[in-house]
Amino acid sequence: MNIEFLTELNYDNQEPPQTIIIDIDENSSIGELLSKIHEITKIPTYSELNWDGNIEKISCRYYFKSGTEYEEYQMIRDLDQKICDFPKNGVNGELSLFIDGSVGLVN
Amino acid sequence: MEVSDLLISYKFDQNLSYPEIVNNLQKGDTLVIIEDFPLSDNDFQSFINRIGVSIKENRNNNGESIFDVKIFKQNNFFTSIANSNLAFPLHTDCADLDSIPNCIGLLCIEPASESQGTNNFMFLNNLIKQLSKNEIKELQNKKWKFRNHWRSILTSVNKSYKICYDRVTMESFSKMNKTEIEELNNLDKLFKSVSFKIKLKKGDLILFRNDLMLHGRDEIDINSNRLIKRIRFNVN
Ligand SMILES: [Fe+2]
Repeated sequence: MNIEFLTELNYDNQEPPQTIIIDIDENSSIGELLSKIHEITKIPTYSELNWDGNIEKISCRYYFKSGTEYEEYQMIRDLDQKICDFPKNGVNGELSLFIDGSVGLVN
Repeated sequence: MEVSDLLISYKFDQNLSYPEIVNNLQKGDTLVIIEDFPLSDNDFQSFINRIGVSIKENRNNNGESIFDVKIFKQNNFFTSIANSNLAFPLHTDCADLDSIPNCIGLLCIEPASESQGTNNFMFLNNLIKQLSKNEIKELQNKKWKFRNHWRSILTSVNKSYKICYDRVTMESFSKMNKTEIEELNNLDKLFKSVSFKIKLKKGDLILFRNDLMLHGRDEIDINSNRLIKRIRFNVN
């Protein structure tokens, strides 16, 4: 299936999304799909925060495009949810995801 | 100073005066706490709508303004420090954003057991009293990197001060030398020494200034069901 994805959401200067073809059954979980995307794109699944001698790995957050406005994304909270349950709001009607690997907004 | 001097308490459905609450937040030298607050997102949102303008974020519930502060992992890692069980040192929220919301509301849906997850607060007023003129100047002059923004910890606006501090952001996104780390260690100690603790009960809504105080929380048991709902907002 075709997947559209972004790795940065920048309201002022948005890069166009990338498109990727993933061989997966839409009855699989969104988590499986995301693992495949990580595998192919080499986007790390976590980044590190460090302060006062602590180091903590923080997971990527995943969002799906929930509406037609360009900034309309909602967080994916359940990685076991089926791919086919998600709306397809990409430019060409594909599933559109935002993989947020930055650790901005630590709180 | 007694903690009760720093708190203005209300009970929901009794003597709630919205202009008074706004006024307290504008002054910013007290915390506002409202007991017996209803535990629904709707009530929380409509309450905040009456006193300020809330900030929407994609990661909030339904992409709106309420964020569930609870332990949450994906890929075996916490999705933020707020979503971890870790202690969170005294900080400003959104210290790395272009514009930093000036208020935060935290609604306690489920407290952690015993003293876990207790909130810590520090008023900028009380910090200033501990600082010499030179120390204040230094905190105003030295710029630190908050991810994409260089900011000083203290800024002076119309003869009053504002604070911006988040060690996790500051240290995670810049290389610091030994002296700077020591500076932060000393600041953390100082902040802690003028901070005080409040353990929220179920149904407590606490409102406070994000630019006139620092907040943090104690460690939580990894299996805790602690749930705090958060709205960031601006009062004018
Ligand atoms: Fe915070």
